[in-house]
Amino acid sequence: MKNIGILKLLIFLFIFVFVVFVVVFVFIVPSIKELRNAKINHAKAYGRYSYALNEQKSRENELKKLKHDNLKIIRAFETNFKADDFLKFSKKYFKQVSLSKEKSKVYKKDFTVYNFHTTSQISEPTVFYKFLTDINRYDNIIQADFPIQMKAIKNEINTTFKLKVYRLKRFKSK
Amino acid sequence: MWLVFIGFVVIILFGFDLLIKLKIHSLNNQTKSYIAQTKKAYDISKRLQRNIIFLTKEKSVAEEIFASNTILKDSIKNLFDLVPDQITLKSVIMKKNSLTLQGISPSKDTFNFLLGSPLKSIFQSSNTIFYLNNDGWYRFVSSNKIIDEEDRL
Repeated sequence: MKNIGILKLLIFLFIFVFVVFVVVFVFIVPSIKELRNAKINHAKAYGRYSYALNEQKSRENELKKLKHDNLKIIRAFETNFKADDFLKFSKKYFKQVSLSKEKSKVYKKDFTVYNFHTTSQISEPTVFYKFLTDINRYDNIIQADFPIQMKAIKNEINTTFKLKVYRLKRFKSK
Repeated sequence: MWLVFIGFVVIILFGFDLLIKLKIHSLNNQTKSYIAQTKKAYDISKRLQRNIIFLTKEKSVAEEIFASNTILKDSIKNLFDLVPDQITLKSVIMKKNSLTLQGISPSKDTFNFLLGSPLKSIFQSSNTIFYLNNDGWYRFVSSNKIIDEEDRL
């Protein structure tokens, strides 16, 4: 009777070990391998994501700084040129000033240049230097250009020059 | 009794396997999400980079124009500083590569020494025509040119 009990125990033990062995090696071990691969892929994906996020943040900061440092320039390129406002500004320097519009051109693909022929009257050349210094601070991006003609008439200097107003092409002039 | 025990152990082992599978599923989902977010972050970075390039272009164009205005101012200032008190200018025509001056001078020598020489040192071609006035002074027309290397060839 005792031998039968021990044999029975051994058989159950064998079945137990076999079943556990089968379950572990057929199901659990492959799952653990899969988990390890999933963890590796996860870590790699996270690494790439962190790098991409850092890149994005660094670009955002760079753009933010660039915008902050050049706010006036950015606005100036977007601002519509109003001849009346410019004439008002010019009258601080010139006794008489008039603008006549010429053909506009495209500059470096993204900009439109509006050309004006300017006729003005100044009392002395230093006024013109002041004007050329101050147009760099005007609301639009303006370039005074050749040909420049200065003619003395009595106590005044008649001055004609070319004026170029630069604006972003995507903003149409009103 | 043994069969119950074996069944219990097998259930525990399958439960453990299920937990692993759930963890794998969760990790794979997160990985997919990271991959999608990485792509999105790179797309945003590209768009930001295009904006940076464009703003840099705007900045450089504006600085170019500001510099051009400053150079123009300095050129005109230098020209008027160059003209001595004895000589009176009546007209100045400045073009990109040329300068034409008209005015009056007490004598040809005064013009040649005080204004002609500096102009000759600046411009490659410098010619002056004098006209005698009734009062003994000279009217002059001085044409000065910078010859582009491209024009020379």
